[in-house]
Amino acid sequence: MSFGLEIFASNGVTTYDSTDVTWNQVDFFSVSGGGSASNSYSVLSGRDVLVQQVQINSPPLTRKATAHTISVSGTTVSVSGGSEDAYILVLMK
Amino acid sequence: MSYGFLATNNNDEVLVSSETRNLHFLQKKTSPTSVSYTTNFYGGMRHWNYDFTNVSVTPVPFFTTPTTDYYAITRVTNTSGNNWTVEIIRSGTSTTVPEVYLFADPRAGTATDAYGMVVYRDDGTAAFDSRKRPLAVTGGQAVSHPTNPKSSYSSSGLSAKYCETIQNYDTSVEYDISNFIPDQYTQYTITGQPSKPMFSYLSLAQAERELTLNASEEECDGVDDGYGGCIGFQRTYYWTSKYFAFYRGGIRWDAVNSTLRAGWIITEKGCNWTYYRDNDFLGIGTGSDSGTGGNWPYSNETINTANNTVIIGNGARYD
Repeated sequence: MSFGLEIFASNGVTTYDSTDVTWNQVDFFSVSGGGSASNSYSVLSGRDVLVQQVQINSPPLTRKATAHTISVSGTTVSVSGGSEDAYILVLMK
Repeated sequence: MSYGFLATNNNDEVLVSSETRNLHFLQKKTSPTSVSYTTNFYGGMRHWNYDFTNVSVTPVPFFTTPTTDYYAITRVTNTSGNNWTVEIIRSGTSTTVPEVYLFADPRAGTATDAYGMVVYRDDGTAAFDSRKRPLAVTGGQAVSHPTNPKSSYSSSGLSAKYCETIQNYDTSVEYDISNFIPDQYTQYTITGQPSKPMFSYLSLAQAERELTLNASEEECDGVDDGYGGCIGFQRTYYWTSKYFAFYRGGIRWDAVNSTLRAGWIITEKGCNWTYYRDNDFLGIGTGSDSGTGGNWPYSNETINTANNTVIIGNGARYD
């Protein structure tokens, strides 16, 4: 590459450079079943945002395992409405 | 930002920032630690647990798809301390298992090289560490699952009595049926992917479908009146069997055609039956072979089908 960032390992192999693409972790938090969260991250301004949700436990047999509803408004990520404990991963690039 | 470090690529996307944390490769498992459920019935289904130790922060798992079946991550559980379990499910009957790669922010893991670049956050913890093999993605796709796992459901071949189509009441021997095997999917074309892609897909979509069959028979202890009636004492027997399947959303990668499908994986199956004589309740039993022994808390519904994003990376880069 003729310009940009290129990082090498000790064996001369490129480990990362500016032709790569990635999603950067902004936050990773848990929301309990029936709970909610609303967090603001200034670093999200003007960036592509991806919010992932993974359930912590297997679906129960006694109730619907409803996923949380996630919304992104500006730099604020809101999570609510789910019946199950879940991890929320906020990514940006 | 007014201070710190920021590197972007040609698309002005963030590569490294002192205000975030890159994900870095932590560990890889080439086979599951345990098998929690397996059957070749209903098109086949597998539930695997991949256990990881020494993971001090919440990890992000990726899996390979060595077969053209549907795969998904259904849960990530912190079992104790720095120990985590990732549950992977798959459709189909193949004995080939996926590899699972674990990524996490650079506070976890140990650097294996003395050369490289480290970027720190304002709290002194690492935001990026090139010695820990930072994650590079090769693609991504927002996917949504079709509302129905199967285009149409037929009760053809199913018995109303004692769930006997899938389980012998006396011997508990199980039988296979194809009435619930899913055939619906949403397809996406994603070009330019590596020969060994790895996927992070966290399944949320669920569906339950059931087929209910009823039957009745009359038995006359008296005299047939010649017109189909009974003079004297008679009994009427009633049977109901409810066959059901529970689905989770999954993804399927077709490397030849560069297509990703969002479809369905059967994860539980079973049947409940009831039996009555006249109005006298004689017995109610569960003929389930699902290991759960009961119905699901909702019937013939599909839930959690909001868009979900698949992240794709190059597994070979971390081998």
